[in-house]
Order: sequence, then structure tokens, then C-alpha cells
Amino acid sequence: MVSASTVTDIVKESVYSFLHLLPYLLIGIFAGALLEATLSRYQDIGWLKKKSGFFSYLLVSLVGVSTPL
Amino acid sequence: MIPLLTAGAPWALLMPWMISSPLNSPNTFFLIAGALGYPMALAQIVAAVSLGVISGIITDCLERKGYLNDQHFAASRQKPGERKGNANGDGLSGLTMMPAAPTTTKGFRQIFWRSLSKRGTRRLVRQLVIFIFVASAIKILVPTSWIISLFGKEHWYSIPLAAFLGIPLYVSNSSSVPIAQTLVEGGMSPGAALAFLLAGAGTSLPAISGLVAITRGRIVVLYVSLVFIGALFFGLLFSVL
Repeated sequence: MVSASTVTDIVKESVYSFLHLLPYLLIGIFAGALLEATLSRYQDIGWLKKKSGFFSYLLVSLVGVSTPL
Repeated sequence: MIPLLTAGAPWALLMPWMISSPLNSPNTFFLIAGALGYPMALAQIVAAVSLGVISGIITDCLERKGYLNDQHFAASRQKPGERKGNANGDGLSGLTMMPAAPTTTKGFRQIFWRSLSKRGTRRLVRQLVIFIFVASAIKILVPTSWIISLFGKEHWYSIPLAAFLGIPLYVSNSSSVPIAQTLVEGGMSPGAALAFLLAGAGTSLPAISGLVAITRGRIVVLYVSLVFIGALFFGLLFSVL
């Protein structure tokens, strides 16, 4: 059985972890929104027709990791 | 993804997107940096991009040999004589039919604020809070010796085990990061943590269910194989470096 002091420790640890991650979370959300708004200007990707191979895959992958889920 | 599929884009261009997109995002990068440090965050993003490029090359080879013909539902609905995409990128002109991009500052601001306030962002924060609590419970209730005995650097099976563990434990990027942090603090090797993050993200229920809805069996098998083998490879590579 989990004691009351254990639950208190878990809650304290959770609050500490959340406060530690909060600045990173906020930076990530803002960076994601900024990238999404920037990338939305380049929706016409017909240029991919002219390019294929390594650099196309690289560019598509870079766009993939830059897009917030 | 849907406009790309309906425009008949080749799988060799879709696969890098399908693989790299769930593996990383700006939110994930900064959360990993905060929880596990910048080397791990950089390793995760390099692994995601590299896996995307490798998957594009492998998919291109398979596509040229005809193994991936008619693998998406949009293609099966096309009428005979209609244009379809192929490995040379033919058929991509349809992509220009996508909605006009906002070129004004007002349009930019609209998308920026919409992205900040969308449901996905609120869900991300909610899941993070829940899984921070779960991770704290693991930290306090699970003995460190258990974690070291399963995921310690000296065990050869730590990386495959972490990759397998990532499949059921992974709900979203925000949920897995606190759990990975707790496991690393408890003795999990960095390579195993990277394998856990990569395999979990790629094979999570939302990623697979989305894929199953729009593609056919061969693409799903290829996708899962590439993500899982890639997670093992980059996990091993990170533990060696």
C-alpha cells in the first residue's frame, strides 16, 4: 500500500519536474508556431518535380522535423 | 500528407516525411533538451533526419522495382488513364493546387496564433502534466537496481528491450520524455533511451492508425521495419559514440 508521505513525495517531484521543463515547453511551443507560420509560405512544392534523390529526401525530412505535431 | 497522396507524389518523397515528422518536432527537441540534455536532443534530431533520408533511398529502390505500386487508397480510386506519381516525381504538378500560401504579415500572424491556441498544443501540455506524474511515481516506487538490471549499459539487450518497451509505453512525444528522463536517471544507458524515444514515436498508436487509414499493407510493414531497425541502429551508434 502506498503511504500518504509517498504520494506527497510523488506530487512534489512532479511539481519540481514540471517547473524544470516549463521554460523548454514554452520555447518549443513558440518555436513550433513560428516555424509552422514560416513554412506555410512555401506550400507550393511543385519544385520537387525537378529535384529527386538525396537532397529532396533531406529537405523533406528537415521540413518533417520542423513541423509541430 | 493527404494532398501529397492525392497529387500522386512518389513514396520515395512521402516516406521521409512520414518517418521524420512523428519522430521529432520543435516541442520534442526542446523537451528532450530540458529533460535529457542537448546532446540527446541533437542525437534525436540527427537520427530522425538521417532515418528520413535513408528511408527515401530505400523506398526509391523498392518503388523502381514495382513493389509499392497502388499502395495508397487514393491511387486505387483513380480512374484508368488518370495521371499517377512515380519515382521520377511525375505527377507532382498537382501539388500546386494546394491552398494559396499567406504571403502577408497578417496571414503569418494568423497562422502563428492559431498554432499556439490549437487543440494539439493544449493536449500536449495536458499529456505532459499526466506523464510527469507517472514518471515521478516510477522514480519513487521502482528501485533503481531494477532499471539498471534491465537497461544498464553493460547489457547487450538493453537497446532492443528499450525499443520494444517504447511501442506500448509511447502515447506522444510529450508523454515519453519524462519517462525516458526517469529511466536515464535510474540507470538506463543513453543509447537505450534514444532507441526508446525513436521506436516509440514512430510506432505510436496515432502514427500507425493514421498510416493504416490512408495506405496499404506493404507501406505499413516497410514503415514499421524502417523505424524499428533505425531505432536499434541509432541507439547502438549513440551508445558507441
